[in-house]
Amino acid sequence: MKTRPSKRTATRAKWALILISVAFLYGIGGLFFASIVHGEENRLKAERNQLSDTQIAAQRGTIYDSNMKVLAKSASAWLVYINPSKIKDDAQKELVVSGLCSILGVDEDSVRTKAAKTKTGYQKIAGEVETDVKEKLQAYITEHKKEKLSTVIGIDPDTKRYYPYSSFASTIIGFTNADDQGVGGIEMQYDETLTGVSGRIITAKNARQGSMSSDYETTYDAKPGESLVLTIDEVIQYYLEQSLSQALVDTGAKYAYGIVMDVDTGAVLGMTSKPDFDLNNPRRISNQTLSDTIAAITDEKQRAQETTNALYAQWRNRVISDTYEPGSVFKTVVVAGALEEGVVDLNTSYTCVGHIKVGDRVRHCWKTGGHGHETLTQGLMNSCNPFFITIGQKLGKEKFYKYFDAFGLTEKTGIDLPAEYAPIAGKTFHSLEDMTISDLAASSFGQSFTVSPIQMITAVNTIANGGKLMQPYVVDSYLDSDGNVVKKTVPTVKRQVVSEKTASTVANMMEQVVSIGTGKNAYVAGYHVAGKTGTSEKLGVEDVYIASFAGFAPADDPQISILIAIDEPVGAHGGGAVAAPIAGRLLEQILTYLNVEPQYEDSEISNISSVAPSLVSLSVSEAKNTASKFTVRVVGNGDKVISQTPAAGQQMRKGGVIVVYTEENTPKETAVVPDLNNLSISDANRRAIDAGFNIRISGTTNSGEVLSYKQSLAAGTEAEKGSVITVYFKSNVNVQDA
Amino acid sequence: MANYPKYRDTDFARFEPPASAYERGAARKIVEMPPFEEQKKPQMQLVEKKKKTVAQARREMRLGARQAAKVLVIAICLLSMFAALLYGRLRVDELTRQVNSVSAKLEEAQGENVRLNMQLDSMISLEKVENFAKNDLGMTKVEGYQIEYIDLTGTDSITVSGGKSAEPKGETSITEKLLEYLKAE
Repeated sequence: MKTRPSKRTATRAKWALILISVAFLYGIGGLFFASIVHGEENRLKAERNQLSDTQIAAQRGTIYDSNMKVLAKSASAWLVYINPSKIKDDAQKELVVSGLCSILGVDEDSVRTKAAKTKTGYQKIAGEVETDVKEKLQAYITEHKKEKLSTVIGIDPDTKRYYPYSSFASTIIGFTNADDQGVGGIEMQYDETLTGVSGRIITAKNARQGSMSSDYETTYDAKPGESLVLTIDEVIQYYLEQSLSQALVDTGAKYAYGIVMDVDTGAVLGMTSKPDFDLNNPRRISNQTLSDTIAAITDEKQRAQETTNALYAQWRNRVISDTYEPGSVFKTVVVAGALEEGVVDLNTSYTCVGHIKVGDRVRHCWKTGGHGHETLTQGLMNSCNPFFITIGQKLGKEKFYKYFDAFGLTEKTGIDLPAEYAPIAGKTFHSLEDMTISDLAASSFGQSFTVSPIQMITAVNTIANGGKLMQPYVVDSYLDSDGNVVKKTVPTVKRQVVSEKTASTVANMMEQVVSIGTGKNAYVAGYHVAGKTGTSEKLGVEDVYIASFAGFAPADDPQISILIAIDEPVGAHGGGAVAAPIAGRLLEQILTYLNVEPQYEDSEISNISSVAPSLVSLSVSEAKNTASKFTVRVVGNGDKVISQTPAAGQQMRKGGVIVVYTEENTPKETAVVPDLNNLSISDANRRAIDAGFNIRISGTTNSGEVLSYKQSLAAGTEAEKGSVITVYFKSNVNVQDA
Repeated sequence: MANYPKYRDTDFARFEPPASAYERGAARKIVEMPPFEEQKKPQMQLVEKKKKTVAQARREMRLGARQAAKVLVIAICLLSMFAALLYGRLRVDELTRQVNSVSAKLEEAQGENVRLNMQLDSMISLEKVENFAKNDLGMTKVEGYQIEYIDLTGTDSITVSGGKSAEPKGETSITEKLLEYLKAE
């Protein structure tokens, strides 16, 4: 039987339907908002609830020198943090603070400040903590088990970058920050290559936020970063750094920088900018005096600013980021361009009267009285400014600019290091359009414009290698995690700037500069060294100079080119007097290391010291006969020689002292080392022999005017009689170039 | 409707519309339902069960036992498989934990190895070696004059020591002749 619902029922049904519809619409609306409007947000929330995503840090690549010596390497370490919200009372807090400070060596105030933030759950205390320190901390936590320090102190995995040789090649290598990102040098330039790709482990979580079984786990393996093999040779870099560190002490200069380059490839074998910094502690100011001065500043803001400035200054690689007026070193570029264009030849001569008028301005030669009549080679040897102004005028501004540009002085060299200085036309050098006759005159002897040291060495290198402008580089190859070479740098020839003949002619002229010109203090017996000295006054500063020397060796078969610049030396400031001796000593060390055999000329052989004969096991009379050219001093009453000083084979001068011991257990005779500075070769030899020592000569000896300026054993120290003291000589005559 | 047993005792008269309703012509049409027939109850038949023989009973018992054994074996197999699966999972988890633990230890040891190597490298840097050699051992750097070059431009020659002659002395023995013969190409 069909019946109609009552009106009341129908009304109720209607309301029910409305309610259900509203609820349905509400549900649909909610779903719309949740899935469409807030879809992404909710998806992430859900993922966070359901998935655990752990990042696997990729191992950062290692940096090696060209002999595969490790210069930078990463390893796992630890990060220590605290959870201030879990600190229950002051006693526990004190234990936490004292433990962390004593074990980690962190600042107490800093830890207290962090511990006071009780509303936070994570405060980092120290990163890059090594395992032995972590174990000490764990032992401390275990020791105070009752105080439940483990609820407050936490230890997480971290990585640490090790630089085994501290400040060695610091401006090249650079360093990483707390996030393992490169901050300077190679670390920054090749950050992406070294970093690799981080991996991930994505695991499903259960309702209790615990990890589910490995079936619900997806792992994306980390790809370790590639390692880099540098062109830097540890030994050459060491010699360079030692020389420049010593130069800072000897000359009182503010900075010293140098580069050694492979002539044929443009590979940088050594590069440094002193003073530098400790790579393991880059945020500590390495200059103690400066550090103390900054620490004494009371205004906090100013102190922070000064600290930042000091840090940026010490991290700066001045070889590529700073500029200087190259001075007379640039004359090599001018003469190369002029020879190439046929404007001058070796027979071109000039008479220097000490000044020259260009336009309405008179330019003076550094030698007030003038150099008189001189050939092109003599002009370069004397570093005669009027001669080079004349050459510049002959060349004209178009051709001058052509070679200025061709030698790479208007562009970046393209070296694979960050923050290379970018030349700006009209600002750092004269553009062709704006170059006046006066600008051309000043530019012809290397003034009124600036270049970076890396640009200058690249230009000089062009003369050394037969006219090819090379692109300098410091990374030789990339290695994968198994040590396989995955990429190798191919030397890049940018262009042929001058012909081989011109380059060879200029090289010969530069050799004359070192043999008998202003660069004589860079002379190394047995090797043919070519070079040019330079002295320039710093732009805008009175009586502040940069002394430099750029050259290459051996001149007859160039292998390495070198540039040494001493920034703001105190006292003598000429490139020939200050920079050339450093370059000479360095070249001698490097060429010996590279097994370049010295070829002595007859005139040089006479200056080479004799060699101590072997007298051991000879009778006293036989020993005296054998060492007839020397003074033999016998110690003891025995018949036979048991030992001798200096040892057989040691270099020493004729007439030197050989002390022979004829009895066992006889104490070695000692004496005080005399001061051998500022003496001629014969005077130094006599004074040494009188004190019971011998000398070995180093540095230039091919001219009569040399004087000693350094000795290997410090004056006043006690040393064994008969010891050989290496005495360094240099000339102070005709080495001025500006 | 009244014929339905369920409503047999119900007085349907009270549901009838009042007489006035019929007068107004709005009365409902009453359809007579067919009479309700009572369902016949099913009649039970008594079937006499056949008696089993002893052999039959034994056979059935054996079959039953076999069936039970089968079920038991299957149950045991399934249980074993489940247990094995469970054990396998446990072992996998345990081994995974061990692998992770050993991997962590390995990584830690490798880190420590790097740290110690770096420490070692820093102790034998060129600077430290040179300082030690110079100051503690009194050594000097090798120099060019200490290298002795051997002239190899001349022709090959043999130097016989102690005045011995290179020429064979006297007659050669049979053994030596034999050896020479064997050496000869």
